[in-house]
Amino acid sequence: MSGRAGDSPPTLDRELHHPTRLALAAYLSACGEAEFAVLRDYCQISDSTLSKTLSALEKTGYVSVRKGYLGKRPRTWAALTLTGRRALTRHLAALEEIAATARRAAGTCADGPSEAGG
Amino acid sequence: MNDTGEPMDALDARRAQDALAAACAARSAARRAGGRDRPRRYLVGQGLAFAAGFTAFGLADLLPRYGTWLTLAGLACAVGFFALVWIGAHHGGVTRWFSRDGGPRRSTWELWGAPLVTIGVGALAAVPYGVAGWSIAFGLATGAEHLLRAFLPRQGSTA
Repeated sequence: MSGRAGDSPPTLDRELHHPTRLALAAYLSACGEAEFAVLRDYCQISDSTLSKTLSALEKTGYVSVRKGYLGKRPRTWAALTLTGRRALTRHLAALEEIAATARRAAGTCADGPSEAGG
Repeated sequence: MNDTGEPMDALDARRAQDALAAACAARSAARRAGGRDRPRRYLVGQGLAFAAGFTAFGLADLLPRYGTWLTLAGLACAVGFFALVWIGAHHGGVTRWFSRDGGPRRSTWELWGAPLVTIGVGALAAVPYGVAGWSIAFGLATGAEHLLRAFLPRQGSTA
């Protein structure tokens, strides 16, 4: 399988590879802070799954979690850290590169199918 | 080749495209949530607190007899103002992020015009009345600007 170009492959971040983690990080990247319930509703996952995902991202230093109260109700807020923002940017750039490389490869194949077997 | 017979690179590229689309959709959703209008009571409260606070600071200079109390009242109003900014920003579960790439935009008037007008009003009052005049005029003008923003149609809010 040597479909890739000769240059070094883009580096995907393993911590952001899972779709839920990526969606979570991308959502948080476009806001300052988001409440637990908002994230749960957007990602359409259970409380426990979101809690585990946030804990995992918090361990890697990508997300900071803050607990507080609004009146008597406990509220949990999550925010993407600077490290998380950089990691997300790199991850998205890597994804872009993969997609662009595939597009270029498809274009090359369409241009010269007779050379594909070489 | 993978289990479905598709070349791996093609599958990776499709997954990459899907992931990019999902990330883009998540960002758009967050921007929409963070950029929606907040209830106007936050802007009204901020405007009143700002006006009262700066007026108290200005009067503290003009009325030294009540200076301590007026300064304390001004500080209390400042705390109230920042508390309202904080609570308003967190209303609805998503706070806005400063973004260069899109999101709801505020009008030029809101971004530049209104603050410059309030500073100008303060500067005009400072000519005859000094720092106290600047403080009172700037506070009242900014408070009025907040009230106007609360009751006029708007494109977004900092609350």
